[in-house]
Amino acid sequence: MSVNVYSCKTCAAPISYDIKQEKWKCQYCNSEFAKDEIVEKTSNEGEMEVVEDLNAKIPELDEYRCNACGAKILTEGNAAATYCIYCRNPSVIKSRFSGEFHPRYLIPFKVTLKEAKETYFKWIKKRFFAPDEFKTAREIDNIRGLYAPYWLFDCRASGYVEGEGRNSKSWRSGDYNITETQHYYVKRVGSSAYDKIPVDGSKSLADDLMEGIEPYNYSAIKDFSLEYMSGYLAEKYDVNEKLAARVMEPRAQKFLRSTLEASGQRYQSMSISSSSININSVKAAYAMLPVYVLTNVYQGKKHTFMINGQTGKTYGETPFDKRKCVLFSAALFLTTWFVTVTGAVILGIY
Amino acid sequence: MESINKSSIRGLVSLWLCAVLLISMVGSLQAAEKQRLFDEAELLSASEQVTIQVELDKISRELSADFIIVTKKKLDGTNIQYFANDFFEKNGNKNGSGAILAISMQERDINFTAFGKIYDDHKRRLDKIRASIGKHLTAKRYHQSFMHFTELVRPSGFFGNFAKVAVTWQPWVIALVVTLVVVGFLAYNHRGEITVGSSTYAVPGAFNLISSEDRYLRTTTTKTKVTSSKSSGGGGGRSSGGSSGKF
Repeated sequence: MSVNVYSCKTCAAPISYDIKQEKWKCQYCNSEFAKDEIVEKTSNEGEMEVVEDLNAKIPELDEYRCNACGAKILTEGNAAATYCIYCRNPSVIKSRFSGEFHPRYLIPFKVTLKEAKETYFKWIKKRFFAPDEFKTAREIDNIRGLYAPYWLFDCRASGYVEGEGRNSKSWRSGDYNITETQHYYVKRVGSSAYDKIPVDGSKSLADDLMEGIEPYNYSAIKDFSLEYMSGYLAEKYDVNEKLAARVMEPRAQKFLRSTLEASGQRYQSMSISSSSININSVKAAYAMLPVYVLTNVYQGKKHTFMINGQTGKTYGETPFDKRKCVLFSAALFLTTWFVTVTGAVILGIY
Repeated sequence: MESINKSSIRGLVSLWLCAVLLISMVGSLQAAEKQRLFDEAELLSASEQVTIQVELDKISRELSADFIIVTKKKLDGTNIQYFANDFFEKNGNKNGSGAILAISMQERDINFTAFGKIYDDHKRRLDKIRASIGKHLTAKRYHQSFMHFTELVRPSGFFGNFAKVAVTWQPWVIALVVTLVVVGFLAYNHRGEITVGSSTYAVPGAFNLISSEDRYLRTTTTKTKVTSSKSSGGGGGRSSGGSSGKF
């Protein structure tokens, strides 16, 4: 198995992708390279191409030798890009991006590590019931950039919803309040098409968290190329297209259902009694999308936070500080009570 | 000429003095208004009676109500509550507001009854007021107990009203609802916000509403009686209530 290291033309030190410049940069001599320049370089390398049998059972941990310092790099089964823990030298495991694992698309990182930290910081400060430990700077050092494997689904959805729509009006007549409600049978039949519904292809990334950092801006989508992986962690998928489609389908159904509900004549209230939506013409494309992952341990439990590496949208399993919640609720309750009573006395409404 | 002038001036002055005297007498009559202290048991000295009467006048004017104190040697079997109501109607007013403190020495009966808006102000503390006055009477501090009456019937002020509102259920419910809404919102927002909606991934213009049906089914009507929240007031009588006891 080979580990790709993209090297600087000038000094042969390893290079990694620079988000702001959108170029590859050598950390030692500050040389910058455009994408075409480095492709050339690596293809001249004449590396040993060892094809890993991807259909065979993948061992839990694989061992590589870092090209820069010679240390052993241990990677988990799905790691496709990593860096040496000793010299931080970026390595890309080429075979894990080939064959059926060759991604079709990629969205490059747009948020730098520093910005991601700041974004997280701002975000966690707004989580009112998060424990204070979570808002301190020392917690955010273990943040890391990751190209997450994603399935992007194009599909068509068609079907119907049926239910009851209601419109009411009330008026007063003498000593009585009269409410008149008109009931309608409502049915909507329609179809729609969806483009690139993302579903993450990794078992280690929780679907609900990944949904929280959506959407990605697809206008920046590029054809995949290996160079972008340099300097980041990357994983190959371990949830195949079929399994991912099962996650996507209910989402697409939900989208069409709410679009149908909102179409045609509107009612003051509507309840859906039955619906049936078919998903067809499903096409999937494998893509690498940027996320920052932050895992914190609080009171013995792991909490994962995700930051969209393109937009900075943050979502996570913020731990709940119960003591803070109780104190705040009590203070709010008493304050509201006091203000209400005082207000009633001053205004004379009692 | 001079003597005539002098006598006419004297006449004018005396006439003027008479007029001033008359006016001042009428004025003092007006100031005294009507009798509000009926000390038939003779518990107070003459000067004490004057101060109590002045106090009663003052508070009656301020609150535009009638405040009356009556002391009896004995009631001869009449219920003190009946007596107090009756006495107030005769010497106070029939439809307005006010309060009466009635005492009978032989039975050692005391009654405090309030009418109209004074009753509305104090309806929860009739017993307390009566007991508080009763304590002074037991100690034979009559003047003090009547002064105390004139103080107690005043509106309760900010803190008194605060205490009144505090025991009602509405502020507790309002506080509970506000707390639940705010805490619920903050807790809901705890993980972050889901911004993906039905249109996020929809291909623009791809939605096609093939058919749409709206069929009228029925009309339902509900009728609820409006319950007025006011307990009394308006119409015929006035609200009133009293508290009787021994001292």
